[in-house]
Amino acid sequence: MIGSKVVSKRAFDEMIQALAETSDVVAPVSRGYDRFSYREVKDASTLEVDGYIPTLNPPKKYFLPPEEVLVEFATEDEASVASGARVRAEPRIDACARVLLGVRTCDLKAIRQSDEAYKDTFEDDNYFARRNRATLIGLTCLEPCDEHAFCAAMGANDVEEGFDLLLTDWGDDWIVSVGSERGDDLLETLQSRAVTEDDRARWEVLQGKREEAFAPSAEKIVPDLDALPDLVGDSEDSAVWIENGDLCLGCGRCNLVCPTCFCFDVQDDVSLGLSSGERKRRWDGCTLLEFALVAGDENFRSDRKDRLRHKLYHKTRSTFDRYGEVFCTGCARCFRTCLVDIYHPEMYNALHERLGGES
Amino acid sequence: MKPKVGFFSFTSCEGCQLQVLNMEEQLLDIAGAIDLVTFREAMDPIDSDYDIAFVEGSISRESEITVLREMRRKADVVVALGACAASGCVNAIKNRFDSEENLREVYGDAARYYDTIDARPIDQVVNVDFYLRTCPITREEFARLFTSLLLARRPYDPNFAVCVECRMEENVCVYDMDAGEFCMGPVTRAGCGALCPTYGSSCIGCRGFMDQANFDSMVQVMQDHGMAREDAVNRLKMFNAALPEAEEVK
Amino acid sequence: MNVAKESSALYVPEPAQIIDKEAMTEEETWYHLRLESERSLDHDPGQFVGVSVFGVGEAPISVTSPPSMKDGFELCIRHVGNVTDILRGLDIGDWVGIRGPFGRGFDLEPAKGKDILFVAGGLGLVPLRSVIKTALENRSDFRRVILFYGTRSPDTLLYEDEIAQWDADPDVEFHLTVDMTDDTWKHNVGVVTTLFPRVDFDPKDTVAYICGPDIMFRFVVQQTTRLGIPDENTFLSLERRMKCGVGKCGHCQEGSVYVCREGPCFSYAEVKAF
Ligand SMILES: Cc1cc2nc3c(=O)[nH]c(=O)nc-3n(C[C@H](O)[C@H](O)[C@H](O)COP(=O)(O)OP(=O)(O)OC[C@H]3O[C@@H](n4cnc5c(N)ncnc54)[C@H](O)[C@@H]3O)c2cc1C
Ligand code: SF4
Ligand code: SF4
Ligand code: SF4
Ligand code: SF4
Ligand code: FES
Repeated sequence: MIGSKVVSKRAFDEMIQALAETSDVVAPVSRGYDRFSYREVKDASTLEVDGYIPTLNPPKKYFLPPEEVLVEFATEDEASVASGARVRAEPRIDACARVLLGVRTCDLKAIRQSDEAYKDTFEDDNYFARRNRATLIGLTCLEPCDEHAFCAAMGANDVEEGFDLLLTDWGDDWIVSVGSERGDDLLETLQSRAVTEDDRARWEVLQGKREEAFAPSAEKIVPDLDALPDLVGDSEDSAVWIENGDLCLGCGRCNLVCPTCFCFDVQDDVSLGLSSGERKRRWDGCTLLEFALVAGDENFRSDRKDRLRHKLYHKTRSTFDRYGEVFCTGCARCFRTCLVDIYHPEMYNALHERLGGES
Repeated sequence: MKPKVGFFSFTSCEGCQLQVLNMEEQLLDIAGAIDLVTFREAMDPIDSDYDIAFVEGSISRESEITVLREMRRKADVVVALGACAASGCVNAIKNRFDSEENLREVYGDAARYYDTIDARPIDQVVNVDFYLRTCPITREEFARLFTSLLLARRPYDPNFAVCVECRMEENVCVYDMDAGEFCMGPVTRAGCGALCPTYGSSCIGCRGFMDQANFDSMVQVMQDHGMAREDAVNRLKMFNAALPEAEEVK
Repeated sequence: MNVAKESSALYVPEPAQIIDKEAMTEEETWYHLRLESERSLDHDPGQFVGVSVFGVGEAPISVTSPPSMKDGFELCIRHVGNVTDILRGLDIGDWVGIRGPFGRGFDLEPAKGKDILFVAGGLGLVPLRSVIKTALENRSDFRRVILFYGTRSPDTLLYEDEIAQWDADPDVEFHLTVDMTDDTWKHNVGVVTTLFPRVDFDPKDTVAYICGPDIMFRFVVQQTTRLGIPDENTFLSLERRMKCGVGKCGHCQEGSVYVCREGPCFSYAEVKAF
């Protein structure tokens, strides 16, 4: 859908510069080697970087940092924290106001989905302390970022919600969609004009071009998006898992870089004096060997093939059952990071084909 | 009661002990928590019992085997201090060559005075309770292990790939740089915080292999990035030739 | 960075004191705990708490006392690793951290007016004891109460005093078995499934509650299915790795559910659908 306002790029840039004085503004920044990371910026110039592919780590790092202290604890009398002495335990939440600039639609979708998981039944205060202070300024992709992205197949190349503002390149201007009150307030501070009939006509043309550009991305996966949960759900013994499991390094990279992976491990650290310490959580992933290990050394997924399947099962069947949606955006970070080129679309297609589906 | 602690050195550069001695500030805390520290060459006779023995270095002489066994009898807890003790480290490279030839090459005529054997990690001689795996060990891992022992808990010892920590650091992977680096992160045990990749070079596997490492895929990846198969295999064995898993690297 | 001051109780354990403690076997210890806040736990039978030894970690442990117990609550812990080994050394008066109760417990509602079959294997008696006691406190709500308890050997029996009571109670059909023993043993010898032929069941009107190692489930469920106890009336409790207890860390996933939240107690019909 076309945005409601048009603002000049210059005015927008000035607004970002002003914002950067008072809060953290972060945006994808080149790291060389055709790789990008969210880093602090001072203006909006990064919005026009060419050849941008999704950042190494997704924006989840701002809401669920790679490592974070959850609880700080100490005894009152220098006794060891594990000695049975009474221990004072306090929550710790580090959060600051932050503007995320130039968030692609795939990542906007992922943020909306992880919000859902992190408020399901128990709201995770650490996550939301940061999430609620974040302003999301999205950016529409005019074409797929590279030949691996399958965002269009996952319906993530357009979003209707999950942002404060969403920008689309309009020459010297941005067309802006407003997704929240916070976005509305921001836009208020800017000179803008309403979209005209002319804009609408141009928009239709642009949409046509985008559709064409995204067609290959949409065709990456043969079965329908809604068919994936059953496809993966009923695939326990498929040779697809054996073949890919043989290749898989079990390295966990695909989990860590995935914007819709949000699993963590918890570990305690203590000071050398033993009388105080911290309970930390850090990123974890279900492709790692000990993810499902329990007492008695029973491991519910001891083979790489079972762990690989579990990952796809969780992204399709589990999240579909729980939230009515497949939790994958097609950003293809998992593929770009994978040293043995394990590619979700290929696995879906192979499963589909072996079930006798058309290809 | 404060535990009685000893440090012992076998075949190594003694860099790991040095790391411990370098922990100046923390050392005061540590010294307050323990009874006695002896830093000694392991070839001296073992004079007393220990609660914790930190053992540095790999075993590469018959005589060291005897001393290590004696030490195991006298210590409640044995910790392998650093890669040499934990996995054999570079000392084990020599295992891949004929040992007679090695000796002649290195010591010439004096070779017959050395009772050298294949270098091996200490757990191929005695039971080892815990491991500090890095070459050289990091202060953080030493502090973590030390406090764990004082709390009587099993220390945190990750059994996953260095790549995990490397992604947490959000480094550009050396394989994306195509800079002629061949990283062993995907098969190497994490715990160093992906130190080498964070400084732009590749992981050389000093912390030993993680369980269920996929060597076939690792070798293939190195080949795909331009390394000859044989070189890839050699590289994987550089620090880890003495580990039983090294047999799987082909 | 302007750090926000916010509070969250989700991951922060509350102090609780060990009021009483007793070694039950070589490997298991029983504890009576009370929260410092004197908040009553208000748990359902089958729910669990997170027990913290700070600096070491947290372990999920089932509450073994019935909800009717208001002065604190009871746990029975097998010493197998980091947290549980240190708990062994703690004494009366010492403190631990508690979070919870978490998860979904056993529902006794479907058993009202029907026969109940409890099957406990080894440590499985710990969570089941809370349900058994609750059922016996409301004995008139149910018809027969049949209780099977199987354990490795006589010296691994938990709650011996209570077992003697159940054995003597005319209102409880109690059957005990051990895998191995000597001649002095007056009960059955063999795995828990060998108890099934000893009882006449009214399967259509029996509700089963099963707790024990995963491998035991498989065999017991074969029996209940063979008898014709409906899957919806067969309840089990699952053990998975848990790091948070609140459906966030992902470790306990089984199929589409988080065992810590939708479980650990499930009907067999639910388990089959995983
Ligand atoms: C819902 C639920 C209810 C439960 N209720 C009870 C109960 O009522 N009573 C009870 O006693 N238990 C119960 N348990 C089991 C209990 O939670 C575990 O035994 C406990 O978490 C073990 O914690 P730990 O820190 O003592 O052991 P850990 O140190 O975590 O070790 C556990 C086991 O894993 C092995 N292990 C794990 N990692 C490693 C490693 N890196 N190297 C070597 N070995 C390793 C250990 O040898 C040990 O066998 C329950 C579990 C669940 C999920
Ligand atoms: S990144 Fe690739 S090799 Fe590594 S765990 Fe994922 S699928 Fe396996
Ligand atoms: S279970 Fe696996 S796929 Fe799902 S969020 Fe966790 S790490 Fe990601
Ligand atoms: S599974 Fe892969 S493509 Fe899907 S969201 Fe995660 S990283 Fe992106
Ligand atoms: S640089 Fe090495 S450790 Fe880091 S992700 Fe790449 S292969 Fe793994
Ligand atoms: S224990 Fe963390 S999700 Fe269940």
